[in-house]
Amino acid sequence: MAGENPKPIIEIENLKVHFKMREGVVKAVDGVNLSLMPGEVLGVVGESGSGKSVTVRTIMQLLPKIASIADGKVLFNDNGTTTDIAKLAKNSRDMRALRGGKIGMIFQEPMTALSPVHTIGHQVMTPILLHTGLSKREAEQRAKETLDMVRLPRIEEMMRSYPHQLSGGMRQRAMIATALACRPKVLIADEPTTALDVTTEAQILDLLKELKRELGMSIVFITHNFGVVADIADRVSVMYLGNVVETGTTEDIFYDPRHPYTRALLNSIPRLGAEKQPRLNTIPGMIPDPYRLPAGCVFNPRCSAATDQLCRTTYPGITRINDHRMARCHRVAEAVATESIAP
Amino acid sequence: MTETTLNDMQDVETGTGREERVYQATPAQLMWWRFKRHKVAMLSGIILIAAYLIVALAEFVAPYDAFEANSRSTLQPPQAIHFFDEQGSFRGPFVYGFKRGRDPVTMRPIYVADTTKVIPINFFVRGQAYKFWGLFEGNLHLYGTTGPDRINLLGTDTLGRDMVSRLIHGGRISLSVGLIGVAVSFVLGITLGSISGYFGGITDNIVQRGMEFLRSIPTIPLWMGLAAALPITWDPLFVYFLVTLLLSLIGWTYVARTVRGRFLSIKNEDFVLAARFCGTSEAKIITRHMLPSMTSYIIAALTLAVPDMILGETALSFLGLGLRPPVVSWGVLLQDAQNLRTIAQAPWLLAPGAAIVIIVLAFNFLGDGLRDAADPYSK
Amino acid sequence: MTDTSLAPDILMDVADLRKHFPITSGFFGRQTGAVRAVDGVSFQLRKGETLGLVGESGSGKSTVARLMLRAFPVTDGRISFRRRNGSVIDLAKASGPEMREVRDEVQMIFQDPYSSLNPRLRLLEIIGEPLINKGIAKSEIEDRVGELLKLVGLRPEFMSRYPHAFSGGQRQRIGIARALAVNPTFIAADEAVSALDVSVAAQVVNLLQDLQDQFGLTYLFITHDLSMVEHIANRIGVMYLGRLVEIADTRSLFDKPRHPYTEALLSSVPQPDPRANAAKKRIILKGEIPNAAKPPSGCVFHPRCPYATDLCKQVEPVLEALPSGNAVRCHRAAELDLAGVR
Repeated sequence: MAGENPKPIIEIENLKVHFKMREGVVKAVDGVNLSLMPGEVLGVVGESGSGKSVTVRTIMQLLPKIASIADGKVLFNDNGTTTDIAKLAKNSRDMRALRGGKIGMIFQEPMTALSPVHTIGHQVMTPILLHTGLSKREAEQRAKETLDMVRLPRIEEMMRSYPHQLSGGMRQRAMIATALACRPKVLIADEPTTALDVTTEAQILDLLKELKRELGMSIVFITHNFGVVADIADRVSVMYLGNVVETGTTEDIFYDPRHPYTRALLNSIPRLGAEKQPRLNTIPGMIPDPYRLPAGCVFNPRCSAATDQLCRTTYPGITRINDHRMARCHRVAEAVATESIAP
Repeated sequence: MTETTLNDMQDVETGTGREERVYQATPAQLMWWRFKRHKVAMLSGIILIAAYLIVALAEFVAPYDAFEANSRSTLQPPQAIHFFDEQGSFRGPFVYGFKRGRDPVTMRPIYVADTTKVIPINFFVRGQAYKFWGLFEGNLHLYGTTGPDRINLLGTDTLGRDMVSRLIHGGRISLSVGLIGVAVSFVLGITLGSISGYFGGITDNIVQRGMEFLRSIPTIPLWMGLAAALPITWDPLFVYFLVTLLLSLIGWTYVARTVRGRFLSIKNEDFVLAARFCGTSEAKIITRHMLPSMTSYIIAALTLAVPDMILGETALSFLGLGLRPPVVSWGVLLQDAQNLRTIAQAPWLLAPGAAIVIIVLAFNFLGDGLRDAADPYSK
Repeated sequence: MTDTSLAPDILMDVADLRKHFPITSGFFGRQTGAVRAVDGVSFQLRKGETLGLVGESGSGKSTVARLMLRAFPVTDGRISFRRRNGSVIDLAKASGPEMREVRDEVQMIFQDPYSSLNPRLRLLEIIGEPLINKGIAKSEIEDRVGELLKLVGLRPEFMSRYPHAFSGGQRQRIGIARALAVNPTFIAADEAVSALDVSVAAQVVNLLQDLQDQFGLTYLFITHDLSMVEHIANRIGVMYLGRLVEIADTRSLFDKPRHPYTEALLSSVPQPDPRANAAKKRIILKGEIPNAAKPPSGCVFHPRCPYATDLCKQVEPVLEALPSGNAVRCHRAAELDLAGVR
């Protein structure tokens, strides 16, 4: 799927986002490279503090005030034109046209994303009226279609309902409807199922997969749940402490992880129906304090493969394993080097 | 098995001295560190401490008492402090005396600075005798003049009384009204607020509705009625206490609301439930867990309640409903500035107004700073 | 009060437990209805086992744990608990002083590592709180707290620190140390690792298992994470809308669930295994968990159940014990052949 259309719709290059805190500068995102191909779901997975949410929020220019883009590009390719989102001002006309128009976003908490004082109908129609030239009547029609698209029941009634009148899963659907109202090219989903129960989560994941097929859009799906990412993503980027440590197809990541962090993490998750092990595998230590990052590779204090001096002193660069795989690890680089030398 | 547990040992370095100091910092320390970063609040705090010190030592700081009239210098404008005389030689701080004349048309006194008459400002001079806090005899003043000439840095009022002295003595009443009023509000607010928040249900309902009723009373007409009812023969100081009491009867609702809100939110914190599971008694849960989590909020709420009191007193006295001369307060002083003529001819009579603005702003900024620092654990 | 009919290997016997929270409205707080958070739950806890309690939000699983520790009064039912001295007490009816005594034997670990520790107290006062309540000498408390900190993998010298010095995983260890301070026999862990990152959660789960082996603790492990509960629990109870719909040993529950809701739950969990997810036929339930104040007629699961019949709409099934010792609350349990995860 990646090979046919070589131009990614979103390309993040060497993105650096810094947070100015009272205690000092936190490099929340430190040189991230990501790309999103048309029609694919890119899973971005990582633990807290990995910078996954900050990274994708830059696509929407939805960073808090204390954050600034220190370096890098966020390219949006659409119909042959390329826009560098990182260069756009937060509230410029171009940015507003992208946000909610070409790029939609859904959040973990629908109650904070939806306005409590407006009806669902109003909230789905607003972006349509804002971004398209449709008349009010046409916008209403489009809003109803969108609500139908996210499989909400009793559309007429739904148009007049307020968010608090809906259940958690329905609210999530209503929020997805507001994000999809303008038929965006890209949907950014920031942990949209984390607050939901498993049965509702399954409903929403299914819905997103169907919508992706119907609308042909691309999705960036952020989550900390490896099960969810395995279910929905075509490709996966694993993040740790402000950087992508490994990117590959979902198959690659889950059945042949190369980066020691990915391996260790996958190893520490209990699996349903697996042979019972007496103890769970763990990653020693804990996620370091962002103000005192370890020297060298940020994962080295917890890494079982970090043996040589290199890991403790030098920040690893990107190693391309093959066309669609990369990892940021000295040990992977060594392995790849020996592989290519061997016949 | 212990071994495996120890293998999991969290590898936290004991931390450098500085970090360890943060880790072991008491809540009060954390609050102080956080408050210190709030520069405006710090400045406000310093201004308020200075203001309260000045009014506490009013007899000493003020060069005269509040009533010493001088018919020779009515409505005299403020005097500028000079260091160099006309010839340019250094004379230390001094003011020029005034030559008093009269406008031939309006018969209004006109003052012209007399540059030949240098009145040096002396510090720690023996001057007018006073009874400090009505207890100790004294005659030492922070500044003043040694000769027969008087010094009126902020000018004089219609009776020739020194504005600086009146401002300081008036401040003693105005500023203490705030504190006493807040003390009463504190007792009422904490008691009713905690009852309301802790018991909830119908008790809460009654207290809440009562508070709403109190807040809905139009205060000015009520006070006008009460002021009319207060016998004129009553001691002015007694009236003063009544006024404060009245103010705090309305003012406590703000404190009560804060206390109740905190109680409701802390009641549902897991650590309170955990304490109950540890067999901690209800009384200890309140004193050890709930109240300490609230003190900082209460302090902030009280600080924000003081300016209301000060403004209330000023408004009442200004309208002639509260304190009456001879008691001086800023509101009483402002009564003198009630007509256009004085404002046009003697704008310095508005000095108490400026003092009120500064004090009220300082209290608000300080309260804001305290409120921000109140929860050092939030991010 | 004392009921000695508890089998020797049973630590706790919960029978027909109910908790109804009144819904009030109007100025005088008139009761207009009740949320039946827990509505007739019965199960037994064997000594030294881990019973998992799973269910979605609103299923009442947390309320069950809080009732077992008497966080609030029990509406109805019985909670027989065998004390360390052998006597049996009904926690549902225990008086204040009785309950205070029993608190040495039943403890809880909370979900939120932040709100469960009082930020204004040092670890010494947090972990040592039950000991302080007993009036034990300070030096003795210090020794004990140091010992407990070591036990949960923290350094004894941390006792003079405040909670803000610690990360989520470490705070959870502190919460565990507090629960252990009194030497309990039973610990309810309410979503104890749900708020933690994957790598940290594994560490805490391992710690809980080590402590169980070391002290012979009995756990009630409440979670919505089915993979985790499969790892840690010996037996699992599945809750739906205040009722226990199925209780079984872990193996049979995952191999061959007997209740349609269990089947749907198991099929809904996305696995860190893309091929398995693609191959799996997922049962997507219609709608969402109903309001506990207005439960549906008959079997409360019938509006969402793919196998519901007319009987299910009218008659509420009872929790029926199976020969294997497991139990299920479904009219069609015997005829249905439901899919597990293996």
